[in-house]
Amino acid sequence: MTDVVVASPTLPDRSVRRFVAGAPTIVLTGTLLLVVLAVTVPGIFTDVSPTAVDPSAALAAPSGAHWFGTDQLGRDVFTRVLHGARGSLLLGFGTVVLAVWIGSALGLAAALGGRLVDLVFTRVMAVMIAIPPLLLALLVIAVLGPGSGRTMIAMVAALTPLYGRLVRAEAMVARRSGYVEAARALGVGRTAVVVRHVLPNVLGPTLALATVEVGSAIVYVAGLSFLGLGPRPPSPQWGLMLAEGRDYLRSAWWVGVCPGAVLALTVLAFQAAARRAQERLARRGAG
Amino acid sequence: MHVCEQAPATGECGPAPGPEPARRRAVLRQLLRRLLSGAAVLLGAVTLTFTALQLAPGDPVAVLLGPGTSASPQVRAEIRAEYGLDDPAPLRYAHYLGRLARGDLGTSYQLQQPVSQLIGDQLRPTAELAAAALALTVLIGVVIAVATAGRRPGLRAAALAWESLALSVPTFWLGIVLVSVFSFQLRILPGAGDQGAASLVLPSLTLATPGAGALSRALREGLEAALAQPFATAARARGLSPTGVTMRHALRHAAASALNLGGWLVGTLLAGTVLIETVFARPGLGSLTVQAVTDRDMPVVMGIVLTSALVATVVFTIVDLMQRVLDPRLRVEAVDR
Repeated sequence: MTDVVVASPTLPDRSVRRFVAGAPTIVLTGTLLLVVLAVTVPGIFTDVSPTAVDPSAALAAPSGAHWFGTDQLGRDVFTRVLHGARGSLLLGFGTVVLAVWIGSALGLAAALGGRLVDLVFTRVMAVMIAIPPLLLALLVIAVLGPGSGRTMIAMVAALTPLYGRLVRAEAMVARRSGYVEAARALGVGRTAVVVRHVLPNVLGPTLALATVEVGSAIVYVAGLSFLGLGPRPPSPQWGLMLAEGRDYLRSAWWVGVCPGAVLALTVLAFQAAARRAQERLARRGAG
Repeated sequence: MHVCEQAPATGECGPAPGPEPARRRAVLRQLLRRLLSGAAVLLGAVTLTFTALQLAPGDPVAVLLGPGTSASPQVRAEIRAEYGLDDPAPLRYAHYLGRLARGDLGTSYQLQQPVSQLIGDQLRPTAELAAAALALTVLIGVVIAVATAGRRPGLRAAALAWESLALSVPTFWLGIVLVSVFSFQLRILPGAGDQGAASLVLPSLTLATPGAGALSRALREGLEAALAQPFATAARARGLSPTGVTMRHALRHAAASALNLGGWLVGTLLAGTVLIETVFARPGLGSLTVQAVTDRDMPVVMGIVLTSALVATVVFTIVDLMQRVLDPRLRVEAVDR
């Protein structure tokens, strides 16, 4: 099938359609910008403190003064969402970065380090993959106890197998490739082959997966703090806000629904951006 | 590589018997290998949970006695002896394996009940929830995929949007929104508890959403690939309607590749119950998990992790074998290896 560009009669219709098709992009790009702003300067949109308690205005519905309403203590939900962005997103990002590092190191070691290393690695990964990531994270938290840093360790443990397996598989392919053989034949050292020839070819697919997975890492972190097993209460976390909101759903839906909506939009925005970037990379690779 | 005339499909040459027994033997060998690797994964999971228990800080005796209880050193020593806490690690590992082989998952620190009994008691509500969610996942995924595969661009765009949404919206938030709308605003469905089928609607719908999104995406891609094949054109040329071609011919092809999602799907459902049961205040394994992790009740946590590893391994194995049933090409390849 070919793209047939039909001229004038359908023009207004087409531009409307293009605008409708572009609307999600506009919304998601806007969300991404707002979230990045909120992470860097949480106080930019409101001068209210996220912890300012005002019992007289407890559980007030969304209004001009309180865009997302107020919670049970009269704190402004919008302000708390902005201040919660940093904790929620940085944990997600940090987790993925660490998991990629550790997973790549382990995967490379398995692919290039000999049969025994590979056997142990493959077996351990098979076990970790058989347990859903959330349960794996919960197992680590049961051992270590809850808290910001420990949540991160738990999440890294849960997500590392994903990258480890991918890097190993890609490195195995690269190791047997013609260019590595050629480099070896030219007398390039072992380490140099890994760093200059294997790693660059492994990195692309791994980073592609990682960018898409940032969104799910943010959801995992929010899920753990929703269960009360993530970072402890003083740090404003979106998941915690959702958990608090769950208790006031009957009388005040906004306390839980609004922070969750921002979380959902953020994840969508990250995933859409990652997919867009992947498509562009693929096209550049093909062209 | 050498050419083999007797049994080209099996790749086994020379004095090998006819293709049929050889193939059957190869399939059996494949099956055995699959079961063995499943058992290896389970043994690994047992080792992992045992290690986790060793790493858990704190004095098990203090946990067993409960907070704020003081006991004489003599009583403590008795408890240590009773639970075998002073034995060397390899011995404890052996004991642990032996107990597991007898189906004994240990005793909960907090509830003072056998873990297997605790899990058994909580199994029914979670199994109901997971089964309902699985049924909804398949229903929604198949209907959307069949209705949109190879259709108008607008319809496909809508399906794509639904899939992105379903896959990325956090289920615990979706649950909160559904409770807020259907239980507290419209008051038509219960939003909490475990009383009858009505209380299952919202939680199972919430739990099914991400899987349904993934399934309809995989199925639609598979269907579109199958519809582009000559056999689909031939079926259409015979006068079969587009839906007929999809249902009768393309779906089987798409199902074989969509089955790859099976393992992931069950893992998502299992882990999902942890969040969903909390959102909907339902009893079950998920609630038990949260409680056990909060209390750091290691025997219970380990029991649940082992149970879910067992379920996941069984499902992985079944999916793998089912793919061979659905896709005859895999059977030949399996023999080829």
